[in-house]
Parts: sequence; structure tokens; C-alpha cells
Amino acid sequence: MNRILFLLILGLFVSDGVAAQPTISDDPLSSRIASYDIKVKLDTTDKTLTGTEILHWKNTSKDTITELQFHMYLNAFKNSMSTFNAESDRIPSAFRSLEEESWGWVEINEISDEQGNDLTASMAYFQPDDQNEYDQTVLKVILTQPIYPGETKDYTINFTSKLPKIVARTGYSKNYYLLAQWFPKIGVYESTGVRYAEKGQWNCHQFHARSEFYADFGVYNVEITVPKSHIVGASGVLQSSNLNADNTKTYIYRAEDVIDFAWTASPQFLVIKDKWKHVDIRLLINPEHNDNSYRFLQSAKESMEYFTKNVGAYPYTSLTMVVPPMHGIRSVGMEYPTFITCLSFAGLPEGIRTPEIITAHELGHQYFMQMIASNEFEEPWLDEGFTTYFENRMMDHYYGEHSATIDMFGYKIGGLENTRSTYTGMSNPKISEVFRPAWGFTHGGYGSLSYHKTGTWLSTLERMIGIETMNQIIKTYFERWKFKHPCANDFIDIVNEVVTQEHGDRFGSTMDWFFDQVLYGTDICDYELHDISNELINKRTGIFEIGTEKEFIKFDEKNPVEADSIYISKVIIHRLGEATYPVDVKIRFENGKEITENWEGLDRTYEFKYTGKHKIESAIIDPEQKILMDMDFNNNSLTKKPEKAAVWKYTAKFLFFIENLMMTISALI
Amino acid sequence: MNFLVGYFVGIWNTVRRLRMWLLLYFVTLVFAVLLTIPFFDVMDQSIGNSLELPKLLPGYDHTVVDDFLHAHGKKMSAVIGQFKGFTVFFVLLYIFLTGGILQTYDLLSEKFSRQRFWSGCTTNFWRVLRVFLLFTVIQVLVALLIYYPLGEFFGKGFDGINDERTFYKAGAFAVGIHVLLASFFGMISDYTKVRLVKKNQFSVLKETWESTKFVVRHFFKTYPLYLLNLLTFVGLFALYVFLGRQIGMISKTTIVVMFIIQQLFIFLRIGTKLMNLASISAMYDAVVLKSRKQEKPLEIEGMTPVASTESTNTASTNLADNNPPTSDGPMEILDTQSDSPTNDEENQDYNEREFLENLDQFQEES
Ligand SMILES: [Zn+2]
Repeated sequence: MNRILFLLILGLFVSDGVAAQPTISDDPLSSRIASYDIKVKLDTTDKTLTGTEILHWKNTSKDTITELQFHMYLNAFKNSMSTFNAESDRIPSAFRSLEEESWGWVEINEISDEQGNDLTASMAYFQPDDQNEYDQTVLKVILTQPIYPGETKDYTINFTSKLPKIVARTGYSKNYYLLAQWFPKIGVYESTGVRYAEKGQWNCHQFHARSEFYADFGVYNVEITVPKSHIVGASGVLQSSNLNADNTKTYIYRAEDVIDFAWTASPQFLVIKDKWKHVDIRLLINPEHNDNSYRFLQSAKESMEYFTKNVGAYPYTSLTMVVPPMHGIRSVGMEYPTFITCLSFAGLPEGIRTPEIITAHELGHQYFMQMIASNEFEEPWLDEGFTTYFENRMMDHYYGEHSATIDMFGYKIGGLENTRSTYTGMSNPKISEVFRPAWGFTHGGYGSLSYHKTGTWLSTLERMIGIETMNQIIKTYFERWKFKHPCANDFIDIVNEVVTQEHGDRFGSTMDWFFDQVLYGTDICDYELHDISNELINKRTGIFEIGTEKEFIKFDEKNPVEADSIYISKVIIHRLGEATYPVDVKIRFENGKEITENWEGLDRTYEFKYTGKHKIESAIIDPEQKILMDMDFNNNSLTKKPEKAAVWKYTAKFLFFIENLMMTISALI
Repeated sequence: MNFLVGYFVGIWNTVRRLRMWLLLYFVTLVFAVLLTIPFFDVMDQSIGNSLELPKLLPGYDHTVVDDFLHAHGKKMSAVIGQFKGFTVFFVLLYIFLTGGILQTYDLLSEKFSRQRFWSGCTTNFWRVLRVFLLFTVIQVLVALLIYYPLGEFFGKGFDGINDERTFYKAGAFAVGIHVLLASFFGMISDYTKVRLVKKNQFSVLKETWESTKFVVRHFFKTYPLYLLNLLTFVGLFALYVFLGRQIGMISKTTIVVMFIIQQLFIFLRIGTKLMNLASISAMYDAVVLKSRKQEKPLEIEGMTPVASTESTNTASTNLADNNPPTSDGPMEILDTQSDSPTNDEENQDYNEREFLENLDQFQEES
């Protein structure tokens, strides 16, 4: 359908008083390769969507395109043999006992090009990643008319989607609907030089258990028809809505320069509106969670403020936040363009910051996933790691670096603290390198490495090169790669460029040594302050001739003669891990004097040696804790004058704990 | 005797046997210290000389604690594991000591006798052990009865409910019911132990049944008394938490202050256990005496010389000496205080047992 005609038809539906909203930007922010006009109707009885989609696809490559590839993601929930289910640890057993209504699927009933050629017969499912013949999450369509470079072609697709009971983010739960990956969605054609493409190729992966998505930017005009009792929220901006004769209501949304479109519907939602600068915030929340509404709104505004200041402008005029009911908990914590799902429990205390954290995290994805549209299948760290890093920065900034995650009953954990300890607490932190496709973490480590190890090494990088340099890197990365598809090399190039520009060769000619360890390697870091020794020299003992007299001097270690008190003092360091980082070592002497040494951190053992009249009192490796990758900070220092009150504190607590356990036993008798 | 009087009788009888109270405290302390020494060693040797350690003083520091547990978690597990190894020993230890407590409270009017305490520990050991085993089974069944259906309900997920508040309510309801039922059976367990010792019986099942009847028949005396004792512990705990939050262990001085408060809490917690048994013993004596007198005044009168001696051995004496009269207290006091207790311990004990046995025999015959 002609696009202008479509918009005119949309205009006819503006009938129930909702004023047309301004579009987001006059000038396209992105190349708008894949745009959609979709009309869809939700049948709440059969749990189906029936829709018509007009795909406008622009060939920005120099290649002639003869086939299209589509994601058919709802087929991941079609049976237990789909790749998604086969890779999942727990979901297959959950599925096995489900009734037919719980499974989901999507099919294209008909597809035709703008010349009216019916392409339906040329459709075929295939499995580019694992050749699992049961998996129907990727479909190719052979074109009758090729698409030449620079051409934009329209394709009309009639589709039916049977929604699954929510298992992973999408589907229905009672009368709550979260519609994500709900329509046939075209993959990304990577032309030569885009990311790792050596020649033009489709990048269209199957839906894996741990993977997310990858898509091109475009404009979505979506016309959603639902029972009139249902409240709707969606990506983009509501243009209009109108009541229909059959007790349904149609909402018309437009989202520009986005890579996806998700929406929700439920008759139970409360709608809470707020505004931050140019952004209309809309919170859809069930009544039982309403007590925490202010927390989502506050966190959203704080996040947008923080990201705008430290990454770049939020160019969209809307943000829709959904707090799913508890029976739809499997749809919480997910990011879609200008549309996020959060999490709350009824009565959740303020000291548990889950609402704020998830809001901050999913808002972070508006930058690292949506605007900087990296390939979430192949490089999950690029979206999850960066988002975790910024989530921690933002949370620690607003809620305290020791209380941003939990602050209850004296038990406090900060954002970065939590991220670091999730990495250092892994049972096997060497289980995999970070640089690995999402489906490649076959024996674990996806979350801990993509999110938390990356969050930790990005913070390490920040502390090494300084926050200003880091901000400059991030801003450059955003400006250069927004509305594009960067890969690891693109980020590393910017780091090398900015660090060299700001610090010369202080960290070497490039920072590749850093990325070799943290991104491509599995080595761990652990420095240990092994020993401090102070040896008294010039021990005068024996018979000395003083003038004409012979004088016997007996050395007394406890009361050495002042003039004889010269010490050889040493600090001995061990490198227990394989990874190496340059570190500072701060040595403090008994007279209060402090020396800070720089050490490359390369040798297995190393010593700093001093001769003088004062003993070394204490020494610490990396006193500012820049190298957060160090697995154990407690062994980074030693002191000859320990302050052991804390040992007594915890000993008293432990004694009290044991006594109480004993008394609990006695109470059973 | 109403439950409030019983409660204060329990407190008084705990306080006046300070030696037993202290003995139990020091037994607990000594074993706890033995298990704490390895904890001190592990902590001192692993991070005692680290500059990170002082970060633990002002409060919890996640990074220090987490790094410590990652690096030395196995050692700490071994320290905790030691306690697990001692669990059975502690069960047996407290069964042993409970026998002594019961023997001591058998004669409430008497001062604490170490000899009597230790002999009670040994002679009552098997009685208390069997009561413990029986009621452990009962308590497990009670818990299963409550939490299995709850688990089933929770296990169905959200299909049957609209929001999580239903789960909260179900959980709170189950816990509430469990507290009431567990305390009810705990109370029967305590009355059974008291009866077994007072009557010098060995049939746990019979005495459990008798205690159940007793408790049910006098429910509004026994259960409120038991709950009041339980609330005393809850109150103490709340007070400890309050003080802990006010003071904190953030300096050498406050560590010492909190250590003293902690040990005081443990001491008082032991006191609540003693109070409970003392008050139960007193309540039992009082109710038995009163019921005999009310049911068969003439026959009781005929046994007055023995009965008077017995009654002065029980709570009534203490009441008369130390507590203001309450609703049904004065009656008992008036009934019983006229006779003086004998100073002959052996004789007194004999008289008491004889009295109770006679009463029971009489009741069965009538
Ligand atoms: Zn994420």
C-alpha cells in the first residue's frame, strides 16, 4: 500500500478527541532501512493476533538482493524442539505439561511484492545457526523481482500469531498481554564492511534461549485493535484512537527511527502520566503495585537526566513503562524502543531498589541496544555490559555507592559493588571469554560475563584512564555510532583514539593489551601484598676502640642505640593471577611518611626495598582500587599495626549467633 | 491462680534460683566460646592484618565481606560445619539440663540444690528425651500439615490468583496458625515433662494424653500463660534489636557495650525458658490443688495436714510472700498459707509426692 494513502486512512480514524501528536523529528535520525505499516487485531478469546503488515525495505548496500530473511520469533514457543526450548535449561519441562492454548506460533498466510507477485510459495524455514530442523524462527522468501542498490520495495504480508502463555517476555497471562516479537520481522542485511561482514550477507539468527535481537531502524505505523476495556501502551507516540462498533477500540501509534515495536494491553492497568523535559512518560501499572509508582517515575527521570548528561540526548518524545502483574512476571525487565517492562512486588520496601535498578537498566538500553544498535545475538556484552556499567554509575550516583542495590537493616550493597562481586564470586570466572555469541555460553557464564564482568572491566577502565576520558569515549562512541550497528572493534578503536589523545602512551601505544585480557581472554587478576619486613642493620657488637679505650658493645635488639637504628625494609608483592595491570603501591612508614610507587604489575614477585631510620608500617597495592578486576582486595595490603576491633566485632556477633542457635535448640526441648 | 499470677510466679521462681540460671548461662557460653575460637582464628589470620579490615567497623562493607568469603569461604564453612557436628550433642545436653530444671521446679518452695539439680539431670534424662522425640514428630507433622498445602498452593503459581497479595496473606495466615499450633503443642510438651517429674511417671504417651486433657480443661489459664512467656521472649528480642540499632558496633566502646547487651540477652533468653517451666509447674500445682478442693472439699479437708504442707511447697507460698493478690490468687493464699512449710527437705518431697499420688488415686477412684 502506498504510504501516503496509508497515512490518509489513518487520519480518518482520528475520531475520539485524541489530538494528533507531533511526530518525533522532521529529519530522519536513522537510515530507516526497514519500516512497517501494520494493522493488527487482538482476539482475547483465541489469544491470537491477525494482522497485515506492509514492509518498506530499502537496499542500502551495493548488492542486488534476491531473497529476504525474516525472524518468526513466536515459533520459538511452538514446541519443545525449537532451538529456544532445546537450549533452555528449565523451559522444556515447563512446556511439556502445557495445554495447546499455552503454545505460540506465527505464520505468514500470504506475502506479495508491490507488483502483486505472490511470494508465498517461495517461503521456507531454515536454520542458519544450528540446522535444527524443528526450529522455525527464521524464514526466507525468494523474490520474484530483485531489489537493486538504492531501491526501496514494499511487501504486503498477512500473518497470524498465536500468542503463547508468557514464558519469556512475550504472550499472555490471564488478561494481561505483552506483545513483543509478534510480527514477521526482517533481518539485517549487512553490506561489506558493516561489523565483521567481508561481503554482503543477511544477519538473521534463530531465536536462542539466551539471545536477544538485532534489527535495522525504521518507522513503525501501527494500528492496534483490542477489546475496548483494554488499556494499551506501545512503542512510539499515540497518534489517535477511536471506538469501533464491535466493542473494540483502535489505537494508532507511530514510532520513528526505532529498531522494534512492542505493545501491551490489559484491562487492569492504572495509567499514570508524568513528564520529563520533552518526554511524555506513561506508566502502566496494576493497582497492587501502585504504591511504588513514584519510584519508577523518579528513577526514569533520574536515568534520562543522567544518560542525557553522560551519553547523549534522548531524542524521543515518549517513554512507556509497564509494570507487569505478578502472574506475568516472565515479561519483566525487558527493553524495547521507548517501551520498557519493569518489576515490582506489592509492598516492596524502599531499601530493596529493584524498581529503580530495572528502570535504570532498561532505560540504559534505549542507548545501548536501541540507538546504538549492536548485534545482541553475537555480542551481548555490547548492550548488556554497557547498560550494566551505566546502571551502576547512575544508581550509585543517586542512591549511594554502598546502598544503591540494597539498604535494609544495616545490610548495604552498592551497584558496582554488586556487579563486581557477581563476577568475582563466579564459581569459575574463567568459564568463557566475554566475547562470545549469546548462544555460545553453553555451560554457563552468559549473565555473569556479559553483564557483570563487562560492567566491572568498564569501571576498571574508567578508573584507570579517569572519568573525564571515559565520558569522552562514551560520548564519542554514541555520537559516532548512534542509529548504526557497531561491533567490538568500533568501540576499541575509539578507546585507543581517545586514550592516546588524552594520555599519550602512558598505557602503551594502544589499549589492546587491556581488551585482550578482559574481552577476549579469561585470565583472572589477583595481586597479593605478601610480606613486609624491617631488618635492623649496623648491628654493632663486640669490642671497639674508642680513642685509646677499648669498649665492649653488646647489641640489644630491643633497645638499639639510636645511631645504629638503620633498617632495610622490604615490601614483597606476589602476582597470583595471570592477568596483569599497572598498579600503584603505597608504602607508609612509621613516621607517617608515604611513598607511592608505580609498578607495571608484570613480574610474578616483586619487591620494593628501602633503607632508612624508620620501619615500614603498612603497604597497599592499588590503594584507590582502580583495578576492580582484582579478585581479592583484602590481600592487597598488610599492616604491622593492625586495627583489629572489627575482628572482635564479628567474633562477638558470631558468639552471639552460636549462643542463639544453642538456645533455639534448647527451646525445642 | 490466673495466668498473670502464674507468670509472675514463674519470674520469681527463676530469679530466686540465680545459681541455676547462671549455671545454664555458663554452660551455654563455654560451648559457644569453644565454637567461636576457630571463627576468630580464621578471621584474624586471613584479614586480621589487612588495611581493608577497619572498613568493617562502621558497618557492613559488601566488598570486604564478599572478598573474604570468596577467598576463605571454605574455612568459614568448616567453622559453621563444626556447629552442625555439635547439634546432636547440644540436643542431648539440653535434654540433660532440662531434667535438672524440672527436678528443681518440682519443689518450688525450696532453694536451689546443686545435688538435686544434677540428680534430676540424670534421673529425668530418658523421660525428657522421649518427650522430645514424641513432640518432635508431632511438631514435624503439624508443620507438614500447614506448609505442605501452602506449598501446593504456592506451587501452582499465579494461575489461581490475581496478585501476589493473596500469597502474602496465605503465608501470613499459615505462619500465624503455625505459631499458635506449635506453641500449643509446645505447651503440652512442657506440661507433660512437668507431670512426668512431679508424678514420677515414665509413660510418656499416658502423661501426654493427661497433659492434653489438663491443658484443654484449663485452656484459659494455661495457654495465655504460655503465650505470655513467649511474648516475653519476643519483647526481649525486640528490645535487643532496638538497642542494637541505636548503639551499633562501630567503635571499641560500642563493641564492648553491645557485647555486654548480647550476653545479657542470652542470659535473659535462658531466663525465659526457666520462667516458662517454673510458671507451668506452679500453674499445674495450683490448678490441681484447687480442683481437688473444689471438687471434693470434704475429702480434701480430711487430708488437710498433708495438703497444707504440699501447698506451701508450691507457688502459693511465693505468691503470698511476693506478689499482690489477684482474682483467684487470694483464695489459694487463704487456703494454703496458714500452714508453715517443714524444713525437712526429704520429708517435704515425700509428702508432696505422696499428696499428689493420693490425689490422683482419689480422683481415679471417685
Ligand atoms: Zn539488559
